[in-house]
Amino acid sequence: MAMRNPPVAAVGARTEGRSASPRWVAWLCVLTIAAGPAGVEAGRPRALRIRRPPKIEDLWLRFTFFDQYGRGFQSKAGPPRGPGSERLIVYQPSVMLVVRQGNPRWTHQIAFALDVVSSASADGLDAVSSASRDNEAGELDVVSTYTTDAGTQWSLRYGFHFEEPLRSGFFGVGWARGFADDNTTISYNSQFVFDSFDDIDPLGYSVVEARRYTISDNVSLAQVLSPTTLLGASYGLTFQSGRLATTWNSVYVEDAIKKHCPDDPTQSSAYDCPNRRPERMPPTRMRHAFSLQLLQHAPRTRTTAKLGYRYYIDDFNLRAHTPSISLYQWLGRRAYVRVTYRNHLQTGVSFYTVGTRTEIPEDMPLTADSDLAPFSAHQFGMAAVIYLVGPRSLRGTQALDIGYNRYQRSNDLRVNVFSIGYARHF
Amino acid sequence: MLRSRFFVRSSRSILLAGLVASACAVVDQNRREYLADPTMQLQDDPLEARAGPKLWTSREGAAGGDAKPAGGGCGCSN
Repeated sequence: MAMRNPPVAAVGARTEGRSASPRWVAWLCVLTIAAGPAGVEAGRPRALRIRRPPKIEDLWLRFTFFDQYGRGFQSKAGPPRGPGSERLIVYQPSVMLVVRQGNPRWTHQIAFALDVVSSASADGLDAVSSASRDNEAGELDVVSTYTTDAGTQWSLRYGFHFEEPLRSGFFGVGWARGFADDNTTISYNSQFVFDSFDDIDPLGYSVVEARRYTISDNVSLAQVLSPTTLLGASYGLTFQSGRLATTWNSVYVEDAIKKHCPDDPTQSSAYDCPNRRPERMPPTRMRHAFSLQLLQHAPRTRTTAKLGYRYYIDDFNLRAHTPSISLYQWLGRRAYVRVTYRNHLQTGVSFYTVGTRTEIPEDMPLTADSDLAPFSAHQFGMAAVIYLVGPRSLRGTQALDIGYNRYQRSNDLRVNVFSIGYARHF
Repeated sequence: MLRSRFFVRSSRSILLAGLVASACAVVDQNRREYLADPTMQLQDDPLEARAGPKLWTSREGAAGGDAKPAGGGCGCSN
């Protein structure tokens, strides 16, 4: 739920503005852009000069539960030829604060999430490592934003992520600026992610430490099209290098059984026999994603429709189309419900296989990861948001939401996601 | 080289589209009541916006973009 005050019946108070004036308004907007910072948001500087003690402006609390079933050919938790189990449960409590500093130009958005994960990887690793059972992961993510006199926002993003086999840090910068009386907002951000992790092989042994680097650049646009219509668009470029494989993922190789397990052709489990080779990925990956969102509000019925489309392409020859739709309906003055549907259709990477007959040369990429396979996924979701009426001593707006999502993939993966959240604007 | 040219072109196109579109904007501040409705935000609750896509970024090969970094942190290759 977006932490805004609920609209007061969302109707009567509407101020009728002038009707769209065609040509001179357009020229005025062009001149406004040309005028640059001095012409934008003239009232803001004075307010920003007033110093106050640091203050918590917003608080969000959320608990999310992921319950996953499925089978994939990269997993050893099954017969030698696969597919193995992908059973997984995640409990994720998270908290986020927005703090405005004494110097009101600065705000800090601080998010902390903790994941308690059961069976994070194939269960077979537990023979020599505890990397896959009851793993805990945590992440701290801080965005510090500075607002200039002209209303331009500069931001720094920094934080870290840790879990048993992985340590990760990230740092980024961002810029956002409103144009034409904030009818248009353009933003850009660039981020660098550094991962360091134990190179755990499919047998559970970790010999060396591996590293992965990610650079991500994103540009986005939000455009007001009418008093009830909003458009969002973004393009993101991501470049990765280093050890890109999920190191404990494996690929079934028929020859390997003959070579390494001649005495046990009737083996029933993939755990004990090295009849599988580790997956191999190219050393770099370049990814492009374009997305569009169109929001339309119908004041008469107090309904909002949100249409989305995303196109993705990368140099692993993976392409994906992702259309989505969300419908919001207000029920009275203090509650609304949301239903969503999302479809994801991806082609899979060019080196995906469920298994090979013979050994593949070492320098050729190979994976049986079901996430990189061709598949289509359907996701249905519903949520209800209620704005709470508290005692007078509790200032600000409070809201409670509860939601459920069902994610189902054509290659045998099903996930149920339950979440409950609380938000407060002080 | 080709890819950086592609990125520059795409970024330019989005910036240009933004500038052109802003020149057509005619919605005054006092006519944006419906745009301030909680259901009319490009992003819902920020924590929900983090938790929900976690499923997609860890279980779909097509993560990245969307003004968020991809590939780091989740302990997986997606």
